[in-house]
Amino acid sequence: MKGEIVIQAEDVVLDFPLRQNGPAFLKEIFTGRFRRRKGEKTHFRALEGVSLEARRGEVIGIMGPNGAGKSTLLRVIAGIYAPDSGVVQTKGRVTLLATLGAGFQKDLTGIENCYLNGAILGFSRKEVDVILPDIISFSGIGDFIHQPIRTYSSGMKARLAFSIASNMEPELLLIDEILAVGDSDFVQRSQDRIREMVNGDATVIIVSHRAATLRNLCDRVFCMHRGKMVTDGADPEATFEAYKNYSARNNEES
Amino acid sequence: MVDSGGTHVHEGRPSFFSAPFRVMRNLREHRNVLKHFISRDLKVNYHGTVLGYAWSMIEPLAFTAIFYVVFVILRGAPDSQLPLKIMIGILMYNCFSKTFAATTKALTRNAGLIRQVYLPREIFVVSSAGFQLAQLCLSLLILMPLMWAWSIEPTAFLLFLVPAMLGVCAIGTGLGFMLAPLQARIRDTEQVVNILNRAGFFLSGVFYSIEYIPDEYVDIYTLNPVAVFLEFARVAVYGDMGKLTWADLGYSTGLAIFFMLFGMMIFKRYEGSVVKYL
Repeated sequence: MKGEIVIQAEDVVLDFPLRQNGPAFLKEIFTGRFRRRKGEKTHFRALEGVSLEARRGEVIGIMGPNGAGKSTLLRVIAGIYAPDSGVVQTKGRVTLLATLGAGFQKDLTGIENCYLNGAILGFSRKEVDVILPDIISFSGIGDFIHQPIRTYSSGMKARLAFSIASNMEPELLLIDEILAVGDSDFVQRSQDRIREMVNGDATVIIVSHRAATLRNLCDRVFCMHRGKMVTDGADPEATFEAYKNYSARNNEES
Repeated sequence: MVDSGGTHVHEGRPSFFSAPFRVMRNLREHRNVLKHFISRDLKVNYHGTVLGYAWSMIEPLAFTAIFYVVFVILRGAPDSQLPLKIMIGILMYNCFSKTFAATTKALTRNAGLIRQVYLPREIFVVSSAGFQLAQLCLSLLILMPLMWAWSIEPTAFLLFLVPAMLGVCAIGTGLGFMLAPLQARIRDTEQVVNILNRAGFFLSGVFYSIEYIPDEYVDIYTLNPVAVFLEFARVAVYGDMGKLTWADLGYSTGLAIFFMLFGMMIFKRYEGSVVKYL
């Protein structure tokens, strides 16, 4: 069923607490919150009413200057943060690829980590058995697969993590600026792999700073700035332009 | 990561009293991950050691030897069973205190993973507890040769080990469920837990057993469920109820279940909002 809406985020608002720590926090407990001075900010609004819809098989790109809320949006979609207001609905197995190898245990071997990561992503041992050869061959790390992860280079870790996640045939894949890692050959192969997954009905959201990557892969590209969507995604070139402007403005201000 | 195909509206928190049902459903759905986490912790724990899992038994064995030297040989304690009783006490109490400490830190320790992958957060609490329980099971295997060495006949009373082990673990986990969200918010919590664990050590009859408690205070002493479960582990080994009654077991078990359920309610109430502090 191509065209069915599989990710729907509506007016998502998410606040992060501005952290009070140490003595200041203790003081806050004892003096009571009611005595807080007017206008003092206790929260930082990371997402200010963001809406996004993705249909099955779509590849959506999100750009934006640092701190625009891109990663936060992916985490809300993945269910890690509950939105403070607004609704998020997803249909199908969601896989978030952010810091690669989050679930890796450095003292376990590559193979053991495949099973562990598989379990974290919702796969049984048997299901991992079936795809294990593909994971190993796609990652291209060869015999190192029998060595503990701590002996891996960061590129190897990234390749193994991407290989695991993409071989799990996620229905919804959220990718957070990880395609820049690895050598150019691996970048090429992972782009091909994403295209394959899309043809196989997966829906992908990619966060990246590289217009070239997004231009190659995406059907629609959005730009975010300060917790808001600032382009409607229809025209990628306009989005790239907007991204340039906002980043420049961001850098001038800071 | 729900069953594929179904729509997943990111559900808010369950109502206070239905939280335990949600927790148990999530644990059942994710039992595969739970198993992997526990076996990972076991594998990693003695990673790189030559003797591996044997350490879980060597450690208590060494304790017993030390206590034997100190109490029986040096101080000439009248009760030659004392080293074994103390060892059982230490193993049981350690399971409680380590479970309490580890479950309290479950969210902060796994912050990296929690921020990257969506998993029901109770999995981290329960897998920490499961690891401690597995460790206790391994350690208690040492009882077999020790009982033989002390020529203690095994009896059906040994079955009491099951509720005793589950009991200490459940109380630790229940308390951990309550404090894990607080620990995520205020990192000082774990320090307080360490102090509580120290104090509890002396209140729970690790270095003395219930025989040494004067009769008029036994009722007060058995109010402490950890002490009761700990004593039941000794009952299991020696095959003698001593001053304990079935009512003590019922009371402590009830309390353990209450801690677990109430802990789950508190946990579900606050865990969603503290994720942002991780």
